[in-house]
Amino acid sequence: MLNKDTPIRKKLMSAILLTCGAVSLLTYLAFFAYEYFTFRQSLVNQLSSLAEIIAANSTASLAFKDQESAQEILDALKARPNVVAAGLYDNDGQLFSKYPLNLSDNSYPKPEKQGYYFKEAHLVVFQPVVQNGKHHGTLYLKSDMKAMNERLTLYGLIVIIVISVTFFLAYNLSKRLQKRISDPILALAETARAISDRGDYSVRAVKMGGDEVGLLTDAFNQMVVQIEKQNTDITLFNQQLEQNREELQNIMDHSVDVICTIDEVGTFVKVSDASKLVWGYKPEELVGTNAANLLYEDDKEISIRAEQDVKNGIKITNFENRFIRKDGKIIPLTWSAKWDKKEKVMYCVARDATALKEAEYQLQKRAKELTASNEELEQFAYIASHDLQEPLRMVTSFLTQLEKKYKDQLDDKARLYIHFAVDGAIRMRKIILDLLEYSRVGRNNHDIELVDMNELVSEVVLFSRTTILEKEAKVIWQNLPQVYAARTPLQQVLQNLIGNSLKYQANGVKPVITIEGAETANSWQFSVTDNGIGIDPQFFGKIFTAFQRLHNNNEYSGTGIGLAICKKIIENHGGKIWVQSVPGKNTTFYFTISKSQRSHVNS
Amino acid sequence: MALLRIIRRTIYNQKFLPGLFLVLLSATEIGMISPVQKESPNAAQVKAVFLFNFAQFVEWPDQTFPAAKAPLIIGVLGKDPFKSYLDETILGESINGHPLIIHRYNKLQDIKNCHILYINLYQPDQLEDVLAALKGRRILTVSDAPKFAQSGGIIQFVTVNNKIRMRINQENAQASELTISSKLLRLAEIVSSTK
Repeated sequence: MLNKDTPIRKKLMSAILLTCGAVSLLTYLAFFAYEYFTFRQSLVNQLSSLAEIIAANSTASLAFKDQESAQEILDALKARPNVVAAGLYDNDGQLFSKYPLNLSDNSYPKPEKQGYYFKEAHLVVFQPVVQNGKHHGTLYLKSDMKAMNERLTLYGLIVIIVISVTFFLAYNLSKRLQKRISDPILALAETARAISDRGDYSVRAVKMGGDEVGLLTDAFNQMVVQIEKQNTDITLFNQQLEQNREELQNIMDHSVDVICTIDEVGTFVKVSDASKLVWGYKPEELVGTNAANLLYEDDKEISIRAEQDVKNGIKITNFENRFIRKDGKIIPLTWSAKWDKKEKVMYCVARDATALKEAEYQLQKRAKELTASNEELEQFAYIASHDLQEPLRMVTSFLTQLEKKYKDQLDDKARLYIHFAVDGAIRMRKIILDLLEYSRVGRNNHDIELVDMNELVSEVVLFSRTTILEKEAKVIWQNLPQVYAARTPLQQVLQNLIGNSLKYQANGVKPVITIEGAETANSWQFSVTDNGIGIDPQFFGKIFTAFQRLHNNNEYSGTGIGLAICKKIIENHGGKIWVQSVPGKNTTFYFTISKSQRSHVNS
Repeated sequence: MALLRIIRRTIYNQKFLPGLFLVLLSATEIGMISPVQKESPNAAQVKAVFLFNFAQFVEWPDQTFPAAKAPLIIGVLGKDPFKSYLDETILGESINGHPLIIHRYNKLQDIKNCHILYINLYQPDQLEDVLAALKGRRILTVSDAPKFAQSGGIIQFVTVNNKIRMRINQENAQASELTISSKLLRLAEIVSSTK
C-alpha cells in the first residue's frame, strides 16, 4: 500500500492513521481481554458463591432424604435465569434432586469434586454438600454465558463506534496537520524541480519555518547559491581555458620553430604550422605519419637513442639531427623534448638550425684563418728578428772596425757619432733578442709538471745574488704551494717580477721583496710585493704591452718587453696577471695559475 | 412392606391398635397412600442414619461433654430395632471431635450420660413416666412412639408417603437446653406439647 513512490502526503496520513488505528485497536483488544477474563472470573465467583449457599441449605435435605425440601431449594434458582441446570447428588452419586424438573436425567454429568469448568459456552460448578464435616452429597450448577456474551457484544459495539469516531477524527485532523509537514517539503521539491528543469539557479526556495525542513530549505538555498557561484566560476574558467588555448594555438601557429607532439611509437599527433616553413609539409600531411620517415638516414641511430632517453624521463635540449625536407633538402634541426608520462606523448620543439650551422661554420673558418695568420705573424717576427741580427751584427762589427782603425783620423765629433751608432746597434740587438724571446713564448710547448715554488724562488734569488748583494736587498718567502706548471716559463715570470722589484728602486733604499702564495678553489694565486717607486694607476694597463716603457733608458734600462712576456706566459697557464701599487711606496704584482693545468700533465 | 412390619411391630408392642390407627389415620389424612405401601426396604437403617445425622444438626451444651474428646453417646432405651445398622452407621465417626458410641439401656436408671436417646420401651405405657423422668436432662429424645413429640419427647419419627419424616417439639428441646438447627427444623413438622 505504501511503496517508495507514494506521495509524502499519503505516507504521512497513512502513518498517522495506521498508528492511531493500531493504538486504539490494541487498547480495545486489551480492554476486551481484560473484560472477558474478569467477567468470566466474576461469573465463576458468583456461581461458586451461589453453589456454596445452596449446598449449605441443602445439607439437611440430603441428610434426611427430603426430596421435597431439596426441590424447594433448587426451585429458588428460578430467580436466576442464567442458571440453566442444577442438581443434588447423594453420597452414592445418585441424582437426588434436579432443576428444572423437566430436565432429563441423562443430561446430568457424574458428580465431581469441588471445582468448576467451562464447557460448550456454559459454566459448570460442583460443590460438595457438607454438614458439620460430614459429606452428604454434591451440588451441580450449570450457568449459561448469555450475560457475558451480551455484555461483550455491547462492548464490541461501543468499541466499533468509538474506533470509527476516532478514525474519522484522526483522518480529518491528520489531513489538516500533515499539510504543515508536507507543504514545505512539497514546496521545496517544486523549487528543486523548477531549478533542474529550467537550469535557472537564481530561483530560491521560500522558507516556511525554523524546523528541520526550514533548515533543509536554508541548506538547499545555500547549495543553490554555491552551484550558481560554481557555475559562474566554471564558465569563467572555461573562457579562460579557451583563451589560453587560443593563446597557445597562436603561439603554435606563429612560432618559427615546429612545435609538435609525438606519441609512443613515433607518430605525429599534433604539428604546428611552422612545419610548412621548416619541413615543407603541411601539418595535416604529417599528423598520423611516423616522424622517422622524415629522418635523415645517418642520424637514425642517435635519434632513436635520444628518443629513448626522453622516454626514460631525461629532458633533452639542443639535440641535433637532420630531416629531409619535402623538396629533398637536408636540413639540420635542434630539438628540445620532454616526455609526458600521463599522456604518453613527447612534446617537442624543432628549430631549423640551418642559419646557426652556417654561422658556426663561418666562425670556425674565421678562427682557423686567424690562427693561421697569427702563426704566420709569429713566424714572421721570428724570422725577422733572427734575420735582422745578422745585418745588425755586421753594422756593429764594421762600426767597431771604423772606430778602431780610423780613430786617429776621426775627430771627437765623429767618434761621438760612432759611439751613438754602436750604442744604438747594441740596443737594437737587445730589442731583437727580446722580440725573439717574446715570439718564442708559446711556440715551445713546455711540459707541465709539479713545481715547488719555494725551490723556484730560491733558484731565481741565487741567479740574481750579485744585484741583491749589491743593493743589500731582502727577499722573503715561505711555505709557497706546489703548482702544476711549465717550470722554465714560470721561472722566467718570477725572474722578471723580482728583477723589476730590484730595478725600480729609489736611490739609497734597500729593496724588500715579499713573495706570497695561496690556493683558491680553481687556481693558485701568487703575489710579489716590493717597496719600490710604485706605478701610477693610470699605467696599470699599459705596462703589460710590449715595448711600452714608463721611464727613459737613462733612469732605468730595459726594453719594456718583460711584463709582456710574463703576461703571455701566465695566460698560457690559464691565469691572469695584474698590478696594484701606491706610487712612491710599493708595488704588488699578482698572478694566478689555473688548476686545470694539472690535466695537461703528460702521464 | 414397611407398613406391614410396623403394623406387626406395633402388634408386638402390645399397644398395636392405637399405633396402627395412628399410622392409618396419618396416611389417610394426607390421602396419598397408594394401595400397596412400598416402604423403604429398611426403615431401621434409615432411622439409624437419621439418628447419626441428628448429631450434626443439634447442639448440646458444653457441660454435657466432660472432656473435649468425650464421646457423644447415642443411647437406645428398651428394645433395639436397629440390629447392627446403628453400629455400622457410626463406626469410626465423630462429631466436632467427639467420637460416637452407643449405649443400650434396659431401664431408665441405667442412663447416666447420654446425648441422643432412642426410646422404644418394652412397655409403651410407661413412656410418659420415662419422659417425665428425663425432663430437664440434656438429652435429645427420639422415638417412633405415637404422640411422642406432643407428650414430652423432642423428635418423633413419622412415616409419610412412605418416607420417614420428623415431628419436632421445639419447646421440649429448648427445655433440655438443646439447639436444633433451623435446617433440620425446616424439614420437620413442628409440634407443641398437648395439655
